[in-house]
Amino acid sequence: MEPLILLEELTKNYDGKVLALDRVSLQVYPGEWVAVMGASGSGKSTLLNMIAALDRPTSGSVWVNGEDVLSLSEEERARFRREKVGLIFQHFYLIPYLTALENVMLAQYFHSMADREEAAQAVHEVGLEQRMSHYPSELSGGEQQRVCIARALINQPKILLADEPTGNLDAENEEIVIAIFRRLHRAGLTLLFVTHDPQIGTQADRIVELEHGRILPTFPAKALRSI
Amino acid sequence: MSEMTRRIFFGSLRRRRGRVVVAICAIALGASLVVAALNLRYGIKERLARELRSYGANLVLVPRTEPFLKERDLVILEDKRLKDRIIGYAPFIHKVAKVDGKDVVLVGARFSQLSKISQWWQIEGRWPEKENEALIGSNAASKLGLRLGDRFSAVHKISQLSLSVTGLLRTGGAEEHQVLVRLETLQRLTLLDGFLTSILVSSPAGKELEETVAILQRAWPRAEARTLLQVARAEEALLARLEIFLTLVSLLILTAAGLSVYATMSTAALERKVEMALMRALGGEERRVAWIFASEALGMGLIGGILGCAAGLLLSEIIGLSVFGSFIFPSLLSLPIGLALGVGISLFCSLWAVRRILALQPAVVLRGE
Repeated sequence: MEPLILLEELTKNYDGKVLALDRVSLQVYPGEWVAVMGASGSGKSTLLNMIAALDRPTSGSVWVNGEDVLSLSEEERARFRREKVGLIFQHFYLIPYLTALENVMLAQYFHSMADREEAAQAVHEVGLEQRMSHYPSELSGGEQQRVCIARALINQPKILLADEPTGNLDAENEEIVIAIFRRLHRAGLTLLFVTHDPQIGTQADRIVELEHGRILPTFPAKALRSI
Repeated sequence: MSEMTRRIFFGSLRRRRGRVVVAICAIALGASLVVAALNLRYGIKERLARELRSYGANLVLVPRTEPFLKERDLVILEDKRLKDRIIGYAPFIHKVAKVDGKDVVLVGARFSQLSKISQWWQIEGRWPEKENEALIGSNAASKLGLRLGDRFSAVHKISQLSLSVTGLLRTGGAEEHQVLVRLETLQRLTLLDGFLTSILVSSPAGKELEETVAILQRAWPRAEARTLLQVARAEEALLARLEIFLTLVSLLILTAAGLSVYATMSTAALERKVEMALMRALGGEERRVAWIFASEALGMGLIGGILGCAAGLLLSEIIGLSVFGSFIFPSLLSLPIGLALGVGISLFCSLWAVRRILALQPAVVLRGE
């Protein structure tokens, strides 16, 4: 089977001083749930940004769904982001003057055309049908993150990339959000999460641990679960 | 405009009301100062040109081939085509006469018209009002030994005229050597009823003056129109300097207004850099994201430009009223210029700031929080 994400010898050096990623190679297969774990500053978010075409590496290559991400122009990278990946951030990044529904429609707007009914269905699927017309400031952290999930999924991406998706949530909301991810995984979506959270790590098929920008020997998540 | 574009546009403006009001005020202030400066540049120039006209004539009409001009032809100067080109005129007849055995130039003039184009003349006493009254140039008065209130006789050929001095005249020019009496009085004395030797005309300076000369030549072929070059050139030089001064002031105001708008718009753009990075992370192309912010700047520029034009017009009228005691006719060109500047500066400053932010990778901005 062809890997959906293929990273080869990926290196990111900030201003020639900080080595965030050091020759990282990784393969993620369709339908796989991979958790990238590691201490702060280990290069987790940098790795995720490279896969999402939000940043450029110093060297190495990034292939996603058969596309050489580094060879893409800025316009093609924008097209890649709206068609191939769904992004979830720790800080949610919802537009404060748009309602929950409109924040989901924003992703449609950049993809092709905003469709209110389709967006409403996506909001319904994350259990927020009663909160559609609320602004982000009127939603709890968990609800905001669920809006972000709906926004990330609305354009039916190949991969869901999440950076500390439960980092700002309490235990109850964390459980709700993880349940949604579990459902998406069962539906066959490929998930790659960056997390500190061992609980979310244990849900993944595989854990990739980063230390000082280098990948430590990979082990299946069930090994962690058994500890 | 799609529903989503409209929601982003109005949602953003509503949420940032305070900032938007500040930005619109900055644009309106800039546009108003530029509109006021442009209006004053045009209005002051015109007013000053008219004021300068009150200090003397800059055109003279003399007979072309015949010895005299006909008084009845003065109707030509009242023609509606010349209405805006002739501020005032005064017809004259000149004849040499003898006073106390000495030759002196007698000038017949319509004092009511002459006084309007020679407001800078200094008169000790008053303008003549009756038939036997005269205004005497200061040099002529010394030469003839005459003082205010004195009576004297002027003789032309076999005719004699008895006159009293109502005023002594100082102009710094040839008039100081002349004796001025009513036009009709001198025409009767010299048996030249209905004839004139010259007409002094006061007309707007610059290119208009040359056009007026051409129009007069066509309208009154028996008269030769000549510019009084010294006066005309002095006026042109003064107006040219004034124009340079007002242009520099307008540029200075434009620069200051532009900097103020730039500061406001770039602060607003910086505040929204996370929003821009998010839009790009969601797959928005740079051009499309830039257009979202540009459309907001366009909206603010339009509102600020319209308000600025209105305020600028008002400001120039207030200044005109306090400096000249009358309203300044607004330059219609200043309105589109003010509006275009409001929109242009707003768009330019906003896009300049947005471009700088869009040059950053979205990850760099989103990592900042």
